[in-house]
Amino acid sequence: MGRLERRERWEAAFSPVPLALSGAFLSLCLLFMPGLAGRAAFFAAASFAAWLSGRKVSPLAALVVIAGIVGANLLVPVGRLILAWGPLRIHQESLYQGLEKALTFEALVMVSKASLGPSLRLPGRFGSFFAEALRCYDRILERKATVRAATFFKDIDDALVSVYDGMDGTDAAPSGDPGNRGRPGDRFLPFAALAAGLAVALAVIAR
Amino acid sequence: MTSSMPRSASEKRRLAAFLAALAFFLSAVEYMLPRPVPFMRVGLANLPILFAVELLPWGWYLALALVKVAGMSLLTGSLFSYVAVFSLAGTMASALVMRGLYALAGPKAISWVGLCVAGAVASNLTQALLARVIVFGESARYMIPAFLGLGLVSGLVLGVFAELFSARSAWLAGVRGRRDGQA
Repeated sequence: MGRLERRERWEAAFSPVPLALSGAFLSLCLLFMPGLAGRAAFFAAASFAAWLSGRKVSPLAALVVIAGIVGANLLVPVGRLILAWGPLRIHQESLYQGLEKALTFEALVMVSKASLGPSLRLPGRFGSFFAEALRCYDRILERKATVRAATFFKDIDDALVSVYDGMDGTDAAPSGDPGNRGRPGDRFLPFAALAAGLAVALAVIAR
Repeated sequence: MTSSMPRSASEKRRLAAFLAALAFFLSAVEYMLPRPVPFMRVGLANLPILFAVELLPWGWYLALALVKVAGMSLLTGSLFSYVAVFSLAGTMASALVMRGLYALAGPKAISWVGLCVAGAVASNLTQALLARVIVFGESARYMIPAFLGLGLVSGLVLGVFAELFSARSAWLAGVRGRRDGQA
């Protein structure tokens, strides 16, 4: 199954608002999760969910970021020396802290990828301004095919003039937005949140 | 550089929404470009904030900066992660420094390049300090020179692009002309 197909299925299965709220709760659970094993499990589950959601997930980029964060933490020696290989010195606490920070960093990215999408509508005045910007963004996207490398400046400028002049300032949010109606997968979201909350509670008790 | 604020509330809102949409679009363009280092980027999405320095009043300017961060975080799916915290801190630092410099120096005393470099350096320095607290710890001090160097280079590149675009853009001339017509 291709990425776009996975994305369509994911969006058909979950409503944007309950999915975003579940993502926010899971992010909080992750931050309270003690120990490396729990965060590693969280990272694995979140990566799988992000892949299922059809968002762009690059294992190579994730590995580079994790290696960078761990490497930076190893520069400051903390704890017992566990490996010395030429100029490389690995200290236990530095390695542990680096891995914990790196896994948390990437797991939060994966939770966000799985739980957030452009169909989410924010409430209030800020939300309506935000929705107006998103509608305008859609119009810019419609014009992007007209931009050519040879006439880049002129094409971009023509697109900006066309989209800006086309905004009449009376764009109302679409009524009865189908994006926020209940969808079949929504009933599973409370269980996912409950499972994450229980896992954190058990990990805290077991410490 | 000239000062050109729209006068009516609906015009300000329309312009702010348009600039936010442009930031989302440029963010998507930049997302597709390959990066030699994960944290390194030119900051194309900051161009609308740069132009907004002269086009929008303070309130809408800050709303634009917030919507830019929220929108980019939603579209790239990073709103609940540290990435959004870095983005918010960097964007707000850059926006406040650019707008503050513009208010202090005035439109004739500072160029787009100057504003851009100041904004990029402020953004990268803020993110480096945040990185010290969140991910890199004490080692962040080794990265600050590199972060500042990257800020300088990306600010220069973006500033030159802004100068060229500003000189040739019919859209920007139209927005400025509309303000002059309303005044």
